[in-house]
Amino acid sequence: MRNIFILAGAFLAVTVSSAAFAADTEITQADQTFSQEAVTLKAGDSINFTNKDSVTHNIKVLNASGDAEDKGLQKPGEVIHEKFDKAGEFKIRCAIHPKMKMTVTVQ
Amino acid sequence: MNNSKTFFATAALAGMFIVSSSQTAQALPSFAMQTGQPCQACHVGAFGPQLKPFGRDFKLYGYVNSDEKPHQLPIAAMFYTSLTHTKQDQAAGQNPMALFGDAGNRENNNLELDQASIYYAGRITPTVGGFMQITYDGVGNQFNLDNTDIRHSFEGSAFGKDYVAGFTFNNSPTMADLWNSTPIWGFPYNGSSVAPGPVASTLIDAGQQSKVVGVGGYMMYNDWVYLEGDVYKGLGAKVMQLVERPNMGDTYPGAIPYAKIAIQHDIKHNYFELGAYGLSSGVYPGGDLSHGRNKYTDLALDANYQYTGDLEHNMISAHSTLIHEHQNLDASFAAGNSSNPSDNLNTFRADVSYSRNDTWIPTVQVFQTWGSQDALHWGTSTGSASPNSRGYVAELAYVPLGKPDSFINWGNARLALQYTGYTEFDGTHTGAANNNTIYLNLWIAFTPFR
Repeated sequence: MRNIFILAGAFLAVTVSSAAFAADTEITQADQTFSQEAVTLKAGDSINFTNKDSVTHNIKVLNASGDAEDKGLQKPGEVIHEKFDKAGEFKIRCAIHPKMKMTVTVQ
Repeated sequence: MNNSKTFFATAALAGMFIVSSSQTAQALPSFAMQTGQPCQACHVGAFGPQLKPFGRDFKLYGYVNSDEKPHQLPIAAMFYTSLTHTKQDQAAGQNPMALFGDAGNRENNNLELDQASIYYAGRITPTVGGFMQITYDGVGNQFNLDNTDIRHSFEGSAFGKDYVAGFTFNNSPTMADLWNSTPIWGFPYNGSSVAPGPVASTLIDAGQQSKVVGVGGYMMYNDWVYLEGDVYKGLGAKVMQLVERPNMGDTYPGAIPYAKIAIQHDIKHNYFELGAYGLSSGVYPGGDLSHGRNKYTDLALDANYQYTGDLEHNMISAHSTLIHEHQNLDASFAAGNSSNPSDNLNTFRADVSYSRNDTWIPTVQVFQTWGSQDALHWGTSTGSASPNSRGYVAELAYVPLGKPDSFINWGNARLALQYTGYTEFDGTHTGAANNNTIYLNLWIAFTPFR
């Protein structure tokens, strides 16, 4: 019985600490540019992309193989929350504005 | 016969507009429809060829960028109509098909359907896009294959820096250019077809527009250096007839190489471009092969400035070009059609525009053409041996639509009042101002598909 409580406590501690260490990085889109060219995250971390431009943007996530995941359109003021669970290098693009690009490295 | 053609052309246009107007909102001129962006995002003044930074990028990347939503065929239509008044009356009946004239153009105050076009403009595959325009010329009363640029683009990196490169198929030197300083896309963006104009212009100054086809490659390296090289070939007589350009005049034998090199940079919202471009082309004058060919070599410089700090509300743009042309006139001289075995011709233009809320756009331009004295070659309207002309253009344009909050997003319109003044015309100062022209024009573009 005591062991069950110890295991449950350990599981709870790990879960809470994982949640506590999963961080959100804030990236803004302004003047048709991402606020950072490159960021490094840990697996499970997230990015909040906030469109501070007056025009609609789009978020597209490309993995190392070039496979793209379209996160849809993002009107001015809208936030797209994207979680990165797997390690690797990802490119972020706006499908509308071809010069908007940044790199996300997930460790 | 002419009247019936006019009727059907007008009816077709009216029909297209009515069908389009009867549909609900959501439609956009095809590039705007594809990107989900208003005209304002790409175009200074929300209408016309003058490009903002995003417009240049959209072209550089091959017209393929999209909001990734499903879209119908990127078909669009455009027409413009105008009223031309010249200071001095012109000889009547010069144009056989004035839409609103009587039997040909009147001596003054001509109301014209200048141009009506249908075009495919948008993405073809994920990496291939372009536009192809078929135009009815209401003054010349003929259809033709107008501006065309189809390109494939790709990205890469070299020496640690990114580049965008691609291939283009187009039908005029400077067609693939990203800037509004070079001839095809330069100011004025439209002008009267029935007003008198100076007779002399360089070959690269849109002289081969739609009369050649070419392929080329281009690269923008590190967003700094632009390189482009194309090779054109003149259309043969049979092809000319197919694209309905029977009065083609000069023809162009052999390969016509064209190149452009430019640097660009934005320093604290002040965008600069400096470039050089040129071509070399053989010319059969009047399409006559009996005396051999002339050879024209054009070398030019161009420059652009844009204030990019407030793209949607206050935008200042300036463009300039200087063209030098050397004309080797072996064929013309042998035929007795030039006084000299070679001539030179130069053109300078510079314009400044201000765009207020992409709605009101005043623009002023100065222009000058000068060159060798050659009484036989230029064929000036004044009989002068000099090709020299100089003057200015002032225009005020009003564009009510094309913004995010516009009440329709499937069409756009541009109303412009343009004044062209001459201080020298075809080699003479005396009477030059008689050619001064007031040009009031309405330009409309819309898409029938959304």
